[in-house]
Amino acid sequence: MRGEFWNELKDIWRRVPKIAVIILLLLIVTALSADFLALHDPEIGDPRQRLLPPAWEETGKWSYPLGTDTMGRDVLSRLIYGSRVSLIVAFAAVIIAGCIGTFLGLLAGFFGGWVDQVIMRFTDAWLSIPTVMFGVLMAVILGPGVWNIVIILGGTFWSRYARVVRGETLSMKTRDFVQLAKIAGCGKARIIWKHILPNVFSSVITLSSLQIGIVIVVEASLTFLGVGVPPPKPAWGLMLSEGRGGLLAGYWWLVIFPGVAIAMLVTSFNVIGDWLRRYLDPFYRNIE
Amino acid sequence: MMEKAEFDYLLKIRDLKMHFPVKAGIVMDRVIGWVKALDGIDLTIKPRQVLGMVGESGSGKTTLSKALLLLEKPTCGEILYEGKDIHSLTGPDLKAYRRTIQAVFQDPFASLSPRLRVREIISEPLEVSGTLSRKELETKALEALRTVGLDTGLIKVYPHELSGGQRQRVAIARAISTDSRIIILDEPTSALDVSIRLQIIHLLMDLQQKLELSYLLIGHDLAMVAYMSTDIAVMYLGKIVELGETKELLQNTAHPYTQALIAASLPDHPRLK
Amino acid sequence: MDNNTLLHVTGLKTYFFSFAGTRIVKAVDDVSFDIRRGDRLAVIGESGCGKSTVAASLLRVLPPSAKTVGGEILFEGEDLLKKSNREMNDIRGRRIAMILQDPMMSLDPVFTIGRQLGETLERHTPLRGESLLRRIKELLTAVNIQEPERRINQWPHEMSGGMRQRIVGSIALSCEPKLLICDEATTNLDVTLQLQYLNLLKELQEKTGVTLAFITHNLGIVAELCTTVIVMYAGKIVERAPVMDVFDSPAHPYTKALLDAAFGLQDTRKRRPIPGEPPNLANLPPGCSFHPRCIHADDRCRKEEPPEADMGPGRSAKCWHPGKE
Repeated sequence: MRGEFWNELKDIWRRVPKIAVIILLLLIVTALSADFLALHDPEIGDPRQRLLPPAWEETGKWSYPLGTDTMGRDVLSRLIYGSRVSLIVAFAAVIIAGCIGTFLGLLAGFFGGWVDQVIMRFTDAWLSIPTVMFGVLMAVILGPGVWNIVIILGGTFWSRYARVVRGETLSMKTRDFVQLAKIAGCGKARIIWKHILPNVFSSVITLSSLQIGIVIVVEASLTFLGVGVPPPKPAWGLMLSEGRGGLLAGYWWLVIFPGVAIAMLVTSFNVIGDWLRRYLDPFYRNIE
Repeated sequence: MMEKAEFDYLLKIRDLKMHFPVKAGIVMDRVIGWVKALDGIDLTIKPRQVLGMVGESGSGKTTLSKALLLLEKPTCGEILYEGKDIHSLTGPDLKAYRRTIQAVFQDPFASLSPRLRVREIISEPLEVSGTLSRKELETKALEALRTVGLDTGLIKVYPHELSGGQRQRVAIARAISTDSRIIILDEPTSALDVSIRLQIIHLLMDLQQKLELSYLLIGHDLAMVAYMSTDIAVMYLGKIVELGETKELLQNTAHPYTQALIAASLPDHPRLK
Repeated sequence: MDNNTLLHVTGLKTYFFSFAGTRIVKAVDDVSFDIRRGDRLAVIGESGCGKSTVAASLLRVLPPSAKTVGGEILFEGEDLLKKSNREMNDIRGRRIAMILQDPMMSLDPVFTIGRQLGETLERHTPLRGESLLRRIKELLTAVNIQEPERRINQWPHEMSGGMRQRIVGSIALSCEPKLLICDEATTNLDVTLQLQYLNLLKELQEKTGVTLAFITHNLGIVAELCTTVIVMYAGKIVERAPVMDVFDSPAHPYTKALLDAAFGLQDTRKRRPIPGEPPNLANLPPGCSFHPRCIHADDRCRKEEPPEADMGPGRSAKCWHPGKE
């Protein structure tokens, strides 16, 4: 049994997009072990070490490898702790959005009729609300805070899942195997749970991989606008926001490093998501 | 088995009608007419009968099968099973009826749930209608697999690992797993490769003999339907226009539509065209 | 090659390559055949035998993962494999036309009949304005459509199934192609419509002299109207013969097995199924590809690939025991 499991794992490893997976794994490990990796406290700076450039620059110091910000806080340590915030927010928000959206999409698609009408009109209305504006509004009402951001993002992004899952459900519903399940006497719950949900799941995963990128960017935007993760907590969006004033003055490291971090995370998720979609699809699985 | 002996039929269809409304209008739907998918069907399916049903697409063959499989409710008329109308069955009677009637569809790639293993696919009808334990279900599934001539090792695999012919055998195994007595075969071989087609047909014919099944065989290839069926019903625009024993029907064709169907059948030798 | 040969294919090899290039599937492997002018050729075999890939290779419309790696396709003396893409565009539709599975689906629902016919004609001929209109009417009359003036302005959904078939036929033949390839052109049709369609094609051939090639697995179509037959198995041609010979005395065991497995209304004797599964092109057995399913297979069949045995005029079979009962 164990050997089989290892072989399966090795088999998967052979096919995954390795660079993206390595980047993502590194980020996760970083987030988990931030307490050991970070050289300095991410929230309290040293006023004597303000605006140090990265270590390889002339005036840089090796104790602050990527330089320091206006308050003398280590950029690298803030990035390391920031990965924790970004990942938690992104995963939690996408899971919440995915659950709400998938549930509503399944209901609308499977039952049709007025259930469908009500759910989908509501979804359409929701989709038409600009994400960032809604986020700002909600953040003002709920107040800043990491978990509030998660709730706001989850509550904003479910509508896309509902649309996709409803469409998939509609097409699944007419498939022969669903008809045969009805003939066999399966109840509605069983048909949804056993025959439809597993088949729309790969779409949910794909969408999630794309959504997670957007969620990270929106989280950064909200934080950038000052309604997201509250300072002095280390968040990548916050770092961008605080560093933007320094960019013209030549303090590029305040913006470039968090920017690159966000880009890498978002790209990795997209690449992995694309691969996952194909891997989860039994048809592709055999071809590759 | 004993209590069923008092009925000389398996299913008796009486004056079955199925009309679908044709709607028009942008804001409020108005019914502007009716499509008569089934327009007064009388038909009896007897034990061990293979009833072929031919007719062009839109003639109502599939609608009839849906009514029998409880997927569509007829507008009027009744379908009797052991003296009771199947559309008013409830509780244990309904479960018993569902076990009695099963179906095999055309496309073996669409008819097996892609994320379930063969074991789950075959035992599902029994699982939802009975009270068997996991172990008993597995035994039943293995037995069904053997009956359709598949290796029992396939019980663990997913449908995408099977060939078209194997998939159709799994679909048949599912249909017989409940000790069903009547199976609706909707174009059971038209999506299969030429060389596999006859294997499946012979398997179905063997099973019919061995398990004393009745088939309602829907097809558009008259030659194939004639090869398998004991009787043939010809459908045209929601009505059965001709019904008879296969040989009799082909030799003394009464209805002009049946004659047209026979005339349109392609020859099996260039000299016979 | 004499003037009667319309298409002369030698040693055609079209392979599919997996993404990493590690696996090669020989979908068409060393295929040679001729089509004579005015023929009605049938290419038969089960799915995956390479018959549709042959057609796609001729028209150079292969999917990106496939490539023709060898051979020669001489069409009226010109090698199609050496043509530029632009020259091929000109040949497709004008000199070689194709009808796909469902003739109902081949019409665009948002254009009138006249527009759809006119589009093809405008692309391939200098006809414009009045003369274009006249030609469209001529074509519609040729496929027995009454009142062509009225039909020109009608939409596909206003026509009956049979009429739409006729229009698809007229579009395919609008530029007077020399070769018309029908890839499973009637598979989804009801039997009555199928026969109508086949009769229409035959009729059009008599009028225009177009050469027909049917790719099919339906032996009834072969018996109904074809003159020559090519049987393919696992990417190779295993038998070619005039239609009477194929049905009277099939030379290759696979052809015989196909005939034994087909149904006929006239002949209701017990049929014999072909044992085993269709071949997996990615993993073919050594020797003759058909040997695992063949009743005559011996040691040589299991080891060596059979040569093409000459069986008289226009006949050959790739088998060690051709014609064995």
